[in-house]
Amino acid sequence: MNGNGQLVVFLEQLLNGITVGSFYALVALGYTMVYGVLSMINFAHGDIFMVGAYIGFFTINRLTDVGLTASNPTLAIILTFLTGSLGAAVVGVTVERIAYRPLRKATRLASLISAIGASIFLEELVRLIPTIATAIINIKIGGAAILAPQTRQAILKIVGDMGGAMVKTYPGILSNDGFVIGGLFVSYSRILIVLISAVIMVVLYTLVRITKLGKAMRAVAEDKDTASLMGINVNQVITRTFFIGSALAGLAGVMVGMFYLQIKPTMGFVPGIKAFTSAVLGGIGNIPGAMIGGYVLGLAEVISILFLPAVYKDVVAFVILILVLIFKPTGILGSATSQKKM
Amino acid sequence: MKKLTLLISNKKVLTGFLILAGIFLVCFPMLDFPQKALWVRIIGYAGLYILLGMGLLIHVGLAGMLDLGFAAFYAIGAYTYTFLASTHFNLHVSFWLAMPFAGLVAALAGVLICFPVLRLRGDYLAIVTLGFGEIVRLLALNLTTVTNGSQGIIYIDKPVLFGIQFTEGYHFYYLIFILILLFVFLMNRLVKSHIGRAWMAMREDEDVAQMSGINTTSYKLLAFALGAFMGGLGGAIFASWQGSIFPDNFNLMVSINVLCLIILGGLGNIYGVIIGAIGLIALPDILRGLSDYRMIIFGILLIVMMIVRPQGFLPRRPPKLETQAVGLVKTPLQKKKKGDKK
Amino acid sequence: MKKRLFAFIVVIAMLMVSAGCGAKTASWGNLVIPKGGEVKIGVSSALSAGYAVYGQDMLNGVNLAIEKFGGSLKGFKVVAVGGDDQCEGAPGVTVAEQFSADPAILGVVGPMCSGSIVPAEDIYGKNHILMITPSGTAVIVTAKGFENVFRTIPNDDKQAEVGVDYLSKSLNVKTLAVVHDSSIYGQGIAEAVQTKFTAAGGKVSSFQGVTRGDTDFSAVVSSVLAGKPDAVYWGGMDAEAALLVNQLQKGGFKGIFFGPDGIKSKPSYVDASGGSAEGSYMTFGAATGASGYDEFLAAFKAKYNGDPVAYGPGSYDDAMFMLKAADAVGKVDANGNLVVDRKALVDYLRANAWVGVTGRFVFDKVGDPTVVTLTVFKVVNGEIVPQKEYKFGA
Repeated sequence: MNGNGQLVVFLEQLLNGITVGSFYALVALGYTMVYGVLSMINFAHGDIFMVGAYIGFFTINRLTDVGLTASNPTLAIILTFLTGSLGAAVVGVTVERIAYRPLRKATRLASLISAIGASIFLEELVRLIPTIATAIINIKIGGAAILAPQTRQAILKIVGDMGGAMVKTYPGILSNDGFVIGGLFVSYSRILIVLISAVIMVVLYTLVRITKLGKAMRAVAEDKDTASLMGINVNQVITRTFFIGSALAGLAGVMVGMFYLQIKPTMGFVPGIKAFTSAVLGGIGNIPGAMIGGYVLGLAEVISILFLPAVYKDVVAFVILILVLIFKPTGILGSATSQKKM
Repeated sequence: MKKLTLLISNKKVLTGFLILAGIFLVCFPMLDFPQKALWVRIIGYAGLYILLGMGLLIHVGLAGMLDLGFAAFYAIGAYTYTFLASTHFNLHVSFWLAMPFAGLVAALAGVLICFPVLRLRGDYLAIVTLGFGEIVRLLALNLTTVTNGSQGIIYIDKPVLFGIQFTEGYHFYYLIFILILLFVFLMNRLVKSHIGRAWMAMREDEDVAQMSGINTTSYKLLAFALGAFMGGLGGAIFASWQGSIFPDNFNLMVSINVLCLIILGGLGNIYGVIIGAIGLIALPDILRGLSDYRMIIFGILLIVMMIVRPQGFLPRRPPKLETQAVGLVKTPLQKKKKGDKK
Repeated sequence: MKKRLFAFIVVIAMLMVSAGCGAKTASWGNLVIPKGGEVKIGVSSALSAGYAVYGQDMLNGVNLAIEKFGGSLKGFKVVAVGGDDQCEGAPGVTVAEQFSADPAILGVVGPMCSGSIVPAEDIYGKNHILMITPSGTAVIVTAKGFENVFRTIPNDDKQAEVGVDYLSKSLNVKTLAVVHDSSIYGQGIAEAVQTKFTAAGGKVSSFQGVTRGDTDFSAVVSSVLAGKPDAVYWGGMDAEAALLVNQLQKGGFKGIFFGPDGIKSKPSYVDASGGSAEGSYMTFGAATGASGYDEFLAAFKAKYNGDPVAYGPGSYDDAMFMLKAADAVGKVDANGNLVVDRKALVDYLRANAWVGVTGRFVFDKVGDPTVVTLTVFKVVNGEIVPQKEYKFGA
């Protein structure tokens, strides 16, 4: 392999790193925003990402059923993104209401354990949806089923797209085509993802800087009680923070589904940890930090492949996480909240 | 609920109940009934989890450190034993030497991981231990020359005592039973010793304890090493009982299972661990029809427990002590702190 | 303190007594189903997560066989019981323990994956439970020589041979990149392909492993493409193959993708690849056009509203052979119980020739079929179409 070939491979890996980094960054934003306002690690955030992917899957299949995917793919993709992120946002807000709000006054660890419970719940719920649905629609009254077999089949087919233990595959909407630059093959789908992610993140950052909500979020992150005394509706701010963070995670979920094709109920765990690592790396509570952290982690992973066999990629992420937490918990850009001992 | 707790607190009732339970458990494998082998296996495995639970209890309840990666010690113990007593490296050290050695190796790992994280805050600490647990599993999966990776290691030696090879389930059942008795006995002694008093002082108020001259670092390390030791022992027993081990035997779910066990049972308390083990390990196997829903019930239970009763089902009197130490429930002192971002 | 010590001694004494009393059975024992009870056929396969498509297919095949057999064995109802081994070793062991502890199990169809079979075999062997796998192709499966282990599919040595022959002679491939999933099955056949392809004069440009369950293969893709291979051989299963072939094409690969029986699945490989599987090849150990296959196919479609995926027909055969053998050696005793001598069951299976919908089988001493057919398939217009047949031992 000559030098030119190696450069191409290296550039390819860089591109991979940036693509993957975009996903991490999108999900990391949710972690960091929630941590900022609640000082809480939302362990279930990775599963919100997964829920977004499934809702998107459901949507794209229904759109295919009615023929929209074939006639207007761009619209189909946009709709899928929208439903995926909005659906995830709703789920995120619901989780906050049920599992975190009652623990507002409790200790951090209690919220963490509750978050673990929420994470397990979401994964299992998605896994069990078809099983539960089958049990429900097969209910018999007096020995006879309530619904006709065709109705049951139709319901099962639709519900089947909402979950289940088996791996599901997104239809291949994104093309495999690309262009070649100096021996480097760049696919259009990669460009699309990197661009969309970057645009959304810049928009978010601007919104947080400029809008009233953004200011309120920062106020709550600084000092919740004082913010409340100043007339800020803390609950509302927190809900909206969860909404935005979860929407971003859901969007990332749909993108991952479209790009990597496969989704499964456990797909949120590892990306969740990596996104959390990115958030910590960039400085937990710090929004630009989360974005930078995401790209840095993505690049660090692919660079590690130059030295280690590719299978150690995940180990690298965990090692980075541990090292950062131990040696520089405030991260690259510094933490927005101060570090305190339990 | 109160009546039940009071009843159990009555020493005479408790002792009587324990003796009856003890006799039942000892005689249980001697009787002949359908599917005996399966039942012995179920109760035996519950017993193994009780051993693990006691180890984690030391970390969480005594050292006050929320450990989300206990499976790491389980894994280290199992693989160490396997390297010493199987066809893998063709070493066949006796179980009675290899098992405690495996425990010691795990204890050493415990000290090594504990050292850098001593000063970490509760939730950060939890994530670091989780990272460590995953790193151990990933290393087991990818260091294929040493561990055989995903293909696992089979033909692990069984213990031999007085010429009898432990090939049947009830052999391990009794081994685990005796070990549990041994450790309950040792723990009771330990808690009453000066080491135990130091631990309790640290739990109450670490700053005061330090000022009274207690080297909190050493005591925390000791507790961590002890808990890890038990995890390692459990791993060795598991490896020889199952006869084969795979990296997947030591995944995050194992850590979370053991954690759920001790939280639900009540963090103070060996008996809580037993209740937890029966509830979480034995019951699902017993209620076979519901086993599909076991995890989702866990998840819901975790959330509900944190909101309603963070001190667990069978808290030791006074009820909030251990959970305060770990930081699940706030002390009056904590509640009063100003500018507290939780 | 004294009480505890006493308890200690009692327990140790009982332990020794019971251990001494534990009689070691030299014979294999019998399956005894009390009057009115059910006979169970265990199906050990992946019923959740990645490879569940295959696992469910196996369960379907077994259930169809039970139905075709008449639903009962000498008047005792027959039921298929699924055990989820997730195509992995650890759950495979758990399922083996569960099935072995169940006194109503006649035999087990499966385990589906070689990675589950290798550790589970010891448990089935110790308990003398008949085990027939329609899909466990790794050579090591029969290496231990257990008498109760059978398989109705050729092993990976032959499968690799066929793959290499077709790649080098029919497809004129000169440079091959090999990727595997680090499992007993995937890595095993990948290594065999590497050895045989090199021996046939070809060049293997890279040999790498990935982890099962992974979705991002970009690193492997980059390094595979750097070697500019004519073809990529994948040793592993459908889920990863679908993603790998898609990502290879996203990376600009225009060559041939070739895999073993683990990828022969329309729903979870072809349809799951975003169109990239078109034109790829795979080998599968079954004869096409065996007698009775068309009726089987029609019955399967009618009952399950779809085609069998890969191992459905094999599982059908396995269950059918099991039931027929049990019918031959089993008896109903004076109390109305069904008694089947486990050794006689296994011996009967070995002593006779069996004709099923996946071919004709005669089993050798270690449980391998003596005559096998392997077919090379190609994905054409989204369908898996046979291209060439190879026969061994005819």
